Amino acid sequence: MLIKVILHNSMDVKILEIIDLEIMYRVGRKSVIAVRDVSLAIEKREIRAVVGESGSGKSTLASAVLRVLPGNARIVRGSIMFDGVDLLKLPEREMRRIRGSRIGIIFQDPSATFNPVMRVGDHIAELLYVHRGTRWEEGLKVAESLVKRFGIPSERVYDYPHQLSGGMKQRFCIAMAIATNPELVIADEPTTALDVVTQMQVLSMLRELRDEYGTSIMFITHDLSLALSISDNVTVMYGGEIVEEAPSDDLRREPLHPYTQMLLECIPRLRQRLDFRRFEKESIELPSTRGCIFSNRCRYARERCLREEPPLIDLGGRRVRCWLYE
Amino acid sequence: MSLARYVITRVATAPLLVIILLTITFIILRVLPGNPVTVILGPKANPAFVKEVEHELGLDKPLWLQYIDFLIDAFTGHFGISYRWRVPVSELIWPRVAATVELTLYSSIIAILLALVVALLSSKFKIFDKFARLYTVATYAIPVFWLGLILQLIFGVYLKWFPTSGRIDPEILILHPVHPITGLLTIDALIEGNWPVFINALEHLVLPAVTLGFVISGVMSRTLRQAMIEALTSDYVRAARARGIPEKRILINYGLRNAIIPFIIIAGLQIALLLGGAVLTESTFGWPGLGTFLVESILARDYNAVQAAIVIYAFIVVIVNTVVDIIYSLIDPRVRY
Ligand SMILES: Nc1ncnc2c1ncn2[C@@H]1O[C@H](COP(=O)(O)OP(=O)(O)OP(=O)(O)O)[C@@H](O)[C@H]1O
Ligand SMILES: [Mg+2]
Repeated sequence: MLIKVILHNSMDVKILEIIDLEIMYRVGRKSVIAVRDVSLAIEKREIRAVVGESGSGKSTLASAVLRVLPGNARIVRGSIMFDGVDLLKLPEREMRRIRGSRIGIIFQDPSATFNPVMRVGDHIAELLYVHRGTRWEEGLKVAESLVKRFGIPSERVYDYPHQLSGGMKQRFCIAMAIATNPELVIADEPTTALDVVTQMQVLSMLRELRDEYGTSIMFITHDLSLALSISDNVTVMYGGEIVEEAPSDDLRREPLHPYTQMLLECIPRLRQRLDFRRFEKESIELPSTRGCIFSNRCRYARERCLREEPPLIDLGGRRVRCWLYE
Repeated sequence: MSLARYVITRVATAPLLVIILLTITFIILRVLPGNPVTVILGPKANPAFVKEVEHELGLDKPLWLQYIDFLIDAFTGHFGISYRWRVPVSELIWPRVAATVELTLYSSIIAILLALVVALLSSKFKIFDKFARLYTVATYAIPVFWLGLILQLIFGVYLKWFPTSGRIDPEILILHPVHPITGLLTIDALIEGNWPVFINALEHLVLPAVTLGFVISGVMSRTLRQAMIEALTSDYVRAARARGIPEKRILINYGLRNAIIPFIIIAGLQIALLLGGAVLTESTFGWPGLGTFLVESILARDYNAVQAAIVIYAFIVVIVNTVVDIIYSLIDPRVRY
């Protein structure tokens, strides 16, 4: 079941709305802007992919939503509305009750998620105990039935993290992220550490989750083809900014931003994909001008692009940050 | 591997370790130059008398037979006659071992508690971390006998709260005799419900145990603190925070439970060292333990007594090692499999 979602809908269908967010990291005496002018809204039941190359600020965005940014990060401005409440204004105690309970998160590296001296099932039992007051034994039973649904034998709940394979751990992570039945699940590159088959399993699990429980999913990835295959809508980030946002089908059919076009061109051909990797490495260089952040790599760059930063232009149903569509 | 199997293998290999340690001891004692008989009798002794003593010690036998005898004696606790006191060494040494074990027991409890408090407080409060560092430096820098003397002066001489020397007042022991069961006065008195002896022995323990406990708590708390920092900055703690696990839970279940693993190794090492006899502390507090026994025996050239002390030390090291490994496997699931 694919749900067509129209962007910019009325307030009550939005589960998450990020407004004009800017985040800086302090590195020594210097400051680096990691996220700038980011506004995006995710609706209930929506699977939203956030795509961007390494360093484009995807994880920073995810951490900001849960307010678990590293100590040297600072939210300069903006607000993050979750179900009508600004998370950035919430006292820490109340924020803690939202983490893991109403917003679940899945990290890239499943082996970095588990406490090595706790059984995997204990993690789920602990989560349910902390947020729901469920008795530990009961929590383990819930964990058993939960992982069974994801094709893991229920007795694996009593194993220690080091006894599970990477794919199994990641499925456990997903089971844990949804154990409390959260309204929003943030998955930060959940399949990067997995082989293709397990990757597909994880994707279908996430889709099932949305279909059965109506959970909204923010799916972070650097792989545009993966993003297109799972999501309803895609947000493309570059250099900490949103450069394009559109329903997945529209984006696949007709990418507007030169950067998105470049990403899409890279997908089908292996040779070009290798090129894409190389260019990911050199991509750290952002232009020093005040103009468009993509201008130094853009094939359509004109004089105005170097001088003036384009706004995120609303084209009705999709947005793009490029002077070509003014 | 199941936990039971791990423990059984670990215990079964312990005697092997003892034999290796004893073999090294034997080589050092017998094969290295220096004849114990001339040490005992002096260089100008009558050759016939030397022969007689050599025979008595079994030193005229072939080396491999001496080695077998040595191992059998070690495992059966026959350490021969003390040349200094003219009584079997085993009669002399067991009370000394018991005294050292008792002092070690209480010092370790104090040290572990101090280390836990210091490490937990400095993980919880930033300001306390500075104090913790100062504390560790202090435990390294303050000489144990100096600390012992200061405590004796304050709490023994000036305040008169605690006795400054010995294990127990002899008149208490005469009035309320204790049957040695474990040899540890506090434990034996507790078993028999002999309160006067228990309290008196405990009073004697306070100053030496606090002194020794303070000194070794520095290394312990530093190890624990370091391991806590490592655990608390790890990815799985970050993930736990992102799941809304409360800080108190994170500190105990994630920080402490992981940090306790390296801590146990260091603590075990410290305890093994203490069981060998803390010579300086024992001398300062006139504590009749293994450390002072070894020093006295060496000074008196009491060859059998020295040998007995070293053999016992080998056993202690292996026993502590085995216990540490078993505790380690109980706490860290990764060791078992
Ligand atoms: N702890 C930090 N201290 C300083 N700078 C940081 C820190 N974390 C991230 N950054 C910087 O912020 C920017 C965005 O990083 P972020 O991790 O959000 O990117 P990402 O899109 O998740 O990349 P990846 O695909 O590699 O995970 C990068 O330029 C990065 O160097
Ligand atoms: Mg990232």
